[in-house]
Amino acid sequence: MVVQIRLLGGFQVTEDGVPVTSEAWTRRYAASLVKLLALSRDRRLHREQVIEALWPGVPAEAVGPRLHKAAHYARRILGDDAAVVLRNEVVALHPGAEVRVDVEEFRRVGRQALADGTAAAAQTALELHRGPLLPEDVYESWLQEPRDAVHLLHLELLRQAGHWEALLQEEPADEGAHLALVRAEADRGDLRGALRQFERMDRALHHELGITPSREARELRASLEPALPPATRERTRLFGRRDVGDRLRELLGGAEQGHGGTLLLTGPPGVGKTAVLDLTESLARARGWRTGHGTASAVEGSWPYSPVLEALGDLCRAHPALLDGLGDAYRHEIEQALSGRDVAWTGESGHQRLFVAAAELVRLAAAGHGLLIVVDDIHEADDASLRLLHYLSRCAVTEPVLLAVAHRRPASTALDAMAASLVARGNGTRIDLGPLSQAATRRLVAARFPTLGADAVEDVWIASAGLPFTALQLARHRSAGRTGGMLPSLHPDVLVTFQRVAMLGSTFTTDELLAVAGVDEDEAYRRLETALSVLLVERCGTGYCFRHALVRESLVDALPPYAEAATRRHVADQLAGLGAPPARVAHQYIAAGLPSRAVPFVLRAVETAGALGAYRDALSLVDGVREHASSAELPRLLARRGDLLMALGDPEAVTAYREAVGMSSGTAERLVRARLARAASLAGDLDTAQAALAGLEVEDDVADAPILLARGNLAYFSGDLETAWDVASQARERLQAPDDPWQLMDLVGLQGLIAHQRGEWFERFRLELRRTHGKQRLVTALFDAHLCVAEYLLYGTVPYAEVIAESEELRRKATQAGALRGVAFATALIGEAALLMDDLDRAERELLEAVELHRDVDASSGEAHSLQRLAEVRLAQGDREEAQRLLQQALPLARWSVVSMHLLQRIYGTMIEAAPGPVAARAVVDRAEATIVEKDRCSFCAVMLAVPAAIACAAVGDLEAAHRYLATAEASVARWERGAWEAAVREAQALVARAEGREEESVAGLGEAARLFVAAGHARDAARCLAQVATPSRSGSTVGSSVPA
Amino acid sequence: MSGYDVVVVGGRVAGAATAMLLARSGLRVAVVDRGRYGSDTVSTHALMRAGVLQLSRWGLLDRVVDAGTPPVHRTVFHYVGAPAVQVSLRPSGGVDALYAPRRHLLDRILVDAAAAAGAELLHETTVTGLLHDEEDRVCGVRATGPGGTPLELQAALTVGADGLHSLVARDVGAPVVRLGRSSSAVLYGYVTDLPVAGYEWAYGPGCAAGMVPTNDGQTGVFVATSPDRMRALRSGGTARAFAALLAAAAPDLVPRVSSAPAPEQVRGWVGVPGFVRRPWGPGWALVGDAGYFKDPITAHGMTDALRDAELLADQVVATLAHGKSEASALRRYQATRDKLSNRLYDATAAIASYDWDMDRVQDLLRQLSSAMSDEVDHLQGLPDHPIGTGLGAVVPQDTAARRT
Repeated sequence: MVVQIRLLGGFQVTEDGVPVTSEAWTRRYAASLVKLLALSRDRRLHREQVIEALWPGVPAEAVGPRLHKAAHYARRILGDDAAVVLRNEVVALHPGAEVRVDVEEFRRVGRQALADGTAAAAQTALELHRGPLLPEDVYESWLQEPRDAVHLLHLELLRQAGHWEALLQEEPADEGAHLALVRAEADRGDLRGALRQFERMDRALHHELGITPSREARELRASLEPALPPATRERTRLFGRRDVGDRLRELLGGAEQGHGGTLLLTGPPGVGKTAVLDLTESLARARGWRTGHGTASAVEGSWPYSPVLEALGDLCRAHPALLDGLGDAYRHEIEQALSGRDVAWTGESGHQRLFVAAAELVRLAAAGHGLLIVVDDIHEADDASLRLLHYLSRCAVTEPVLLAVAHRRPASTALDAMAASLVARGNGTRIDLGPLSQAATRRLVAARFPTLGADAVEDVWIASAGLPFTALQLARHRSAGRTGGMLPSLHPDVLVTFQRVAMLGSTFTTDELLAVAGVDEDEAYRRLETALSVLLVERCGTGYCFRHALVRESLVDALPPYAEAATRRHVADQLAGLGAPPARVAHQYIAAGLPSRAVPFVLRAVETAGALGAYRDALSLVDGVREHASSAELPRLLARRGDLLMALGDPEAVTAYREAVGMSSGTAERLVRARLARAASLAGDLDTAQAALAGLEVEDDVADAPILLARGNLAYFSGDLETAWDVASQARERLQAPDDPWQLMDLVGLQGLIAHQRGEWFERFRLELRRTHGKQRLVTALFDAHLCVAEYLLYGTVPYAEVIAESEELRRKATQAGALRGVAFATALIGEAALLMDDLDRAERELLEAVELHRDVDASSGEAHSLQRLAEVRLAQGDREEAQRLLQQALPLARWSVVSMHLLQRIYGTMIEAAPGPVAARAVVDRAEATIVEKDRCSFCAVMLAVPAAIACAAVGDLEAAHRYLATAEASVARWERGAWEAAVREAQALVARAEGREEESVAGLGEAARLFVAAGHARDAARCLAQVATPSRSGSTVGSSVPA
Repeated sequence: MSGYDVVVVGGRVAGAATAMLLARSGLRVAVVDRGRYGSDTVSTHALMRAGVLQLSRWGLLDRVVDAGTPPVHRTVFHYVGAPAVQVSLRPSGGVDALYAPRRHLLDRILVDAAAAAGAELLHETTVTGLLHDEEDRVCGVRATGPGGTPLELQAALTVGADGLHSLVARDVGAPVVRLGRSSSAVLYGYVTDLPVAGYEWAYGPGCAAGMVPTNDGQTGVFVATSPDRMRALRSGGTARAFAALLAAAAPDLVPRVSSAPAPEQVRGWVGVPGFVRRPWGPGWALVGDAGYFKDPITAHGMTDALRDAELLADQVVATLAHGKSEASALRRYQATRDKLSNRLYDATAAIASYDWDMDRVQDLLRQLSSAMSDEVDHLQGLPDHPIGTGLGAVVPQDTAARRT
């Protein structure tokens, strides 16, 4: 029998010319075993090697049966009992047959070709390369090495064969390939083509950190284009902005003293924000600072984080050696996000590492220096960019770093929220640029157009209303003897071309111009020359840009609405043809009113955005097209929508997954059902979870672990801890790709929840950190579900100082690992412990930080939780109003949180405390009752609402309700270790007794509560109890202060 | 023999490089070194990017590569109790890899390049004192050649590149402007066939270690700590002290080092606190360790020597060939040297204090990286030096007259 195994471009086995159908390979380990053996020398491996590759870390006793099972299914699928042989500790594939493996042949012929050194030999070898090695198995770690080897060989062969275009597809920044193409164009006499190739190279280099053209490239370029005009924009001298200049110097000086921050520059279009940013850069450079510059409006619909990453890229281009101090893991994170290329999304929340990586680069660049990061036009920025900026801004506070951002007002809600948060924390300084005074406008115009008469200058002042850009534009027209608005008079053909170009963004490349112009090359270049000559556009870093955002906007505004849609569609078609990032193309189609065309691009863009953590941006893309997706596209779109909502902690994920279930089949359906069950369990909808899992069995495919995990979650939330633990352990063993945090995240979270209830939380946590040591991607997964469970720890028997010390250690480890969510988590825990031990200053500091950190990484549960704790701090500080405000902020976040059953009870508990009087407090109890439905209650957390509710009801004489809450509190507290909550319940009992006139009992109860509080280390609570012994009447005071704090 | 533009005392990295650059600019240069041609010396070997950049800009890197010096493509930082950090080197500006050549190789390459550019080399010649004119300006050196022959070399400028214990600095009384307090005591040896990822630096409580792959399949392995601790440890024997410090600073490296053949010899180096001297005065200048020494723990001495050779040579050419005033030229040399060195010096001194925890040492290494980036930025901005000879081609007659 002749067996042919294809591994390049996809997996296929052919026996005597008859292909084994791909559907037969549903048994994943059977397929993996065949692939692994096919890649091995002589198709044989030692049993241990197979086990290490396919089931790393799984206990030996569990592996034997799996190997045999995989071999059994492989034989069955291949229809030959001798297809896989396990003998004498060796596993062999088709030992007796003639087997041809395509990758083996490619590598043999390829190596020969490299030795031969000719283009023809390389070409012969390349014909055997039908695609990358097993592209369907991107997450298999055992494939990494052979895949890299095949990839490198392929690149070498492309180079040797002179297939430069193909090489650039694989390695867009390969300078050698670009230069070869430039030379070829130049040799053909096509100078324009050669220069366009240079532009492409510049673009590609902009997507890598710290890479600039080599000397050879610069010399070649100079030989082709000796008189290249400078690409820098004309520097404008500022008039009437002396106070702004002083303020900038002050900010730079403050940053040099280690008090960095953010400058928020606002004002109407054309008021000179960009000029002030330029001035900031000049001032910073004069002080020897490093700088980086990005612009949000550069490209419409660009990929996540791009303006911020552009600024970091700019910084690294100017100082490439900085990267010698940046760890590879960090650089990889930034480069992946900077590349603008498609990234596959596993479903993990990965953006935290990007945040940490960006912050590390910022710290490195600022070390011993000042660092200025400028991002212009952030009103055009994506949500992800704003979050990253906000995070960096907070990192800047203790570094010599100034972030300078400019935006128009009014701004979007997200931008306003970010700015307000920075200003409120003292990290942000707003400078609102107003129009120039008459005198300053006169000086400005006189400096630039000295020949303009006084009357004309007066006219310009009146017409410009002090906006410098408008004033200069008008003055330019007047001095040329013309009248007119923002746009110079243009030939209609030129106008049409640049209206199309304007759709792209404020910058564009020559390739893009040629593509959208829709005329021949000569004509397109003629139109470009015209546009340059009338100052419509100018040269910039990697191509051209409109002279000002207002110029570009005027071009767009001049289009009637019907023409805009058609223009956008044309631009979208051309961008798609140029292979532009899918988000850009999708954006154009959606803007053109053609969402159905956008769908395939949205599907690609969502992968990248999800992988980079830009969930909200991805979600708005999905929601922009979901009504228009075809039946083939809809299942994946809806499944991803569920994933995005899940990542954002939005209970709507359940609905999204439910929609997706009905549309999918096979393994995809199993996966979506598992995710539906998980989302439903977390949202407390156990019936839906149960129904979703009904009939799903372990089938040896990728859905196994998610299914087991969902079962574990369901068992946990149904209160069956033993089953939950068993299923979770089983799932952990069956993780198909142990390095894939997607599955691990929830699993670890679930195990953490259970461990917590068993009082083994820190031990469990440390074990997980050890297990994930060195696998940094996994560490980020650890912290999610641990959020609420940590409460047991705080009210348990571990002393607070110890909790703080342990948490500081956790925070240190999480910081090193780049797990921002972990840092946020540990910070909240420290803040809580500090609150409970009465260190209010520290509690305030840590909890404020925890709120911001959770907000930056879009972890709404953690944010709500930290806000609630911060409200307790404010209450203890006597600031009731602020406490109420914080709780109002926390409430909606908690309501939509996956852990709402814990959070809501706590928030309402504190709201009762914060109420201005007994009647208001009683009203909060009713609101809580109406909001929290029975199934949403965590029986552990119930005490946190029940104690203040019982006291509140007692205080207004509603004794029946008081007793009801007391009973709930007593039942709940029985689940806890002895500690502060026991004391709180005792206090509540005493106050109910007092309300019923049982004064003696009440005094005794308060005394006991005080004793219990002292034993738990809550001196302040104890003091309150004792004070109540002395002052029997509580009328007029608040009711909820019996929550231990 | 008399009448040079410049006499350079010391023909190792700083001296030979300075002499080469001056000779390439057409000045008449003599280099006096008491060692034999091609002899070895104690070194960390490791060149950082700025050092490799200099060799590349001067057209000498190929010789280092051709001699089989292993390229270093990455640096790994190990911290006790924290994950290791790997930094891969990105090719840029003519630097595709770092190198840690043995000194008998690197110094010879520089000396040969100086000779090829027209510098006169006097090996096995010991400088015994400086010559001063009637205004007390230094105007050359007195020396003893091979076989005890007394020599007097007249020169317009005398450059002291004679290292840590510089005779030139001592003779002219070069003022010390900064003096450190901390220093590393080091034990080091060469291990054959030790697998290394590149440069590997390790930091543990109060101690450090490192591995630097150099020529002939050898890797320099060192451990370092404060002199007091080293003294206490060495009382139990050098080998035990080495093992104890390696285990404390780099537990992750112990299995690799112990599975390789033990070093033939473990040598010690007693620490000397860092210092910065004013590097010039009438008729004299200092370059390399003679003028600015910092603890070897950051392995940055040779890199700075290659940098300062050019900073000094440019200013010497400006004064001798282009008539710029000596004081203003050499003051400029000092200012640039100090601007580029101060942060390296501070961070190195802080690391050599061994008074840090893992967070602090990472912060210090960040400071160091940032300062190294400035150094590279500065050197990349310098004009290229043509590789050519031509004695006296650009020396005006009046300068030529002054030396006789």
